[in-house]
Formats: sequence, structure tokens, C-alpha cells
Amino acid sequence: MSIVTQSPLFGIALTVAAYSVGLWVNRRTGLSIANPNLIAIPLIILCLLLTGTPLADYQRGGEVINMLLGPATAALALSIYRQKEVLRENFLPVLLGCLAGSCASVGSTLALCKAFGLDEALTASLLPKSVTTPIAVELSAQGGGVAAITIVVVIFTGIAGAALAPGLLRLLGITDPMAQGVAIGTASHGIGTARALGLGQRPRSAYAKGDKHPRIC
Amino acid sequence: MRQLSLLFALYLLAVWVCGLLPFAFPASVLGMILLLLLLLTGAVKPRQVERGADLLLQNMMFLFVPAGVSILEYFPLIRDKVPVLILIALVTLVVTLAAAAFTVRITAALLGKGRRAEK
Repeated sequence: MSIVTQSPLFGIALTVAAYSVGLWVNRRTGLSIANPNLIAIPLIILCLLLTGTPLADYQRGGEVINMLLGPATAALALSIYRQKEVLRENFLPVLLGCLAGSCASVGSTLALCKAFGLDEALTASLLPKSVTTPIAVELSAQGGGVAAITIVVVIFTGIAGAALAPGLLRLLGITDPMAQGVAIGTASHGIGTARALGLGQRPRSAYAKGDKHPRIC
Repeated sequence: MRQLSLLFALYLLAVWVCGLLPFAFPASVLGMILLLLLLLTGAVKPRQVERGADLLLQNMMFLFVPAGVSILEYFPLIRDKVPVLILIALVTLVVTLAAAAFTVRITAALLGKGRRAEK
């Protein structure tokens, strides 16, 4: 078997298959908790553990997929560019909102990590959690964090944001769509925004302002 | 394919530039800044990159799967801390939401007043 699992195509094939299952379950159930990544990642781990395949074998192919994240992050520039009109009109509120939200996120995470006595690597993995995943991973790595932990926490934050943010904002009395958009975007980035609105993959309403811009905050 | 190769080349250029910088800076973020500048100055038209860029953007979450699988290696380290991690994630989510929402509201309100005063 090892001749199969050591081929880089093994990791790629397993990832594509597991993600397809994740997408299928997500579409069938329509639940934000049934996030494709949240299904694909445990599924792959389960396959590796059951067959006794080393993680290193899987990552021969996994690394190839991972490498595409660099250009994909650069491509985010297009999403920002598409929002340029909205950004120009509301530059200051959006910028300050993202800034305040990001500071609040980093500050409260730091304070709580200290309070619970978490070590430095774990704290570094959590700090960038409300930034969009590719940038969060870079920031986490540069601060001595663990990319895998950051990814899982970012996905969790996105899903929690999708489930809770609209209700919380209503409780706080925030009804302005721009304030809601920036808040959801800053707190839980794209997953939260897309799911919370049930608008599918490309939210084009006022919320999209909040979705795209905080990706760089 | 041509659009993808343009994005790959841009990213590799960013990797090269980041290697020359005296401090650590993520190449992917530099690549994003470069592409945004190219788009804003009109040197690159959106239609010249959008098919390639959308292909990557729409499948972005798929690209994170392998990195997420690496949690397997670290799980023993964080097993005891899972409840604390969930608590931290939830509390900071609420704080972040509130801070961002109120700042937008206050700034927009102040700007609105300023504009009305000018009239």
C-alpha cells in the first residue's frame, strides 16, 4: 500500500474526495455547522488513522494543494477591487470599524489567553483568528504559532459568527446594514458573512462591504 | 491558464521581493497589495485576471484542508484545552462584533452630522 500512499497524487485524491463529501453534505443539509472543511478534515484524519497511513505520506500531496494558497491570497485583491466604489463612499467608517474590531479581537484574545495561562505558541495561533484564513495563517506562523490550530479556530469562529452574529447584533440594537456587515466581516470573515445571509457564495448586498474589506484588516 | 500563470508569476515575484526585505513579511499579502495596485492604476484590467482569480477564490476553502489535517499532529498538545479554546473564541467574537459595529455607527453618525452642518 505504501507505494500508493507515497505518491503525491494520493494526498490530492483523498483531499478532493473528502471535500466533495463535505460539499455534498453541506448542500444536502444547508446547515452552517455542516461546513465542508469541518467534514473533510476529520474524514481525512479518520482515513489516515484507520489505514495506518503516516501523515507525512498524505502531506506529499497536501503540500501541493497548500502551495496554491499563496496565489489565492494574492487574488483577494480582486475582491477588494470589486468593492472599491462602496469603499470609497464609506472609507472612514469601514476603516475605523475594521480597525476597532481587529484591535478588540486581538486585545480580548490576548487578555483571555493570559488569564487561562495558555502558552505562547497557542496564543500566537489564536491571535489572528478573525482575519481571513490565508493571512491568519501567515501571521500565526510569523508569531510562532501553529497553522493547523489557527485554521481550525478560524473555521470555528466563522461558523460561530454565522450562527450567532445576526442575533447578537439585533440584541445590541445594530440595524444599519453597513455596521452589521463590517461587524460580521471583522469578527468572522467570509464564512460567517456568506452563511449568515444565506446568499450563497458571493454575497452582493450591503453586507459584502463588510465581508471583503476586513480581509486585509 | 494564462490568467492563472499571471497570478502565479505575480506571487513568485512577491516571494522574491519578500526575500530581499530586511524584515519578515508574508509574500501572499505583498502579492495581494501588488495586484491591487496594478488593478487600481489600470495596468491590469479586471477581465485579464478574473477568471483565474475567481477559480482560486471560489475554491479557497478547499486549499485549507491539508493544513487543517495537520491538526492530527498537534491534537495531543491541545486536547485538555479544547473547552478553554471554545470559550475564548466565543467571548472574543462578541467583543469584536460589538466594537466594530459601534465604531461604524458612531463614525457614520459623526460624518453625517458634519455633512449636514456644511449644508
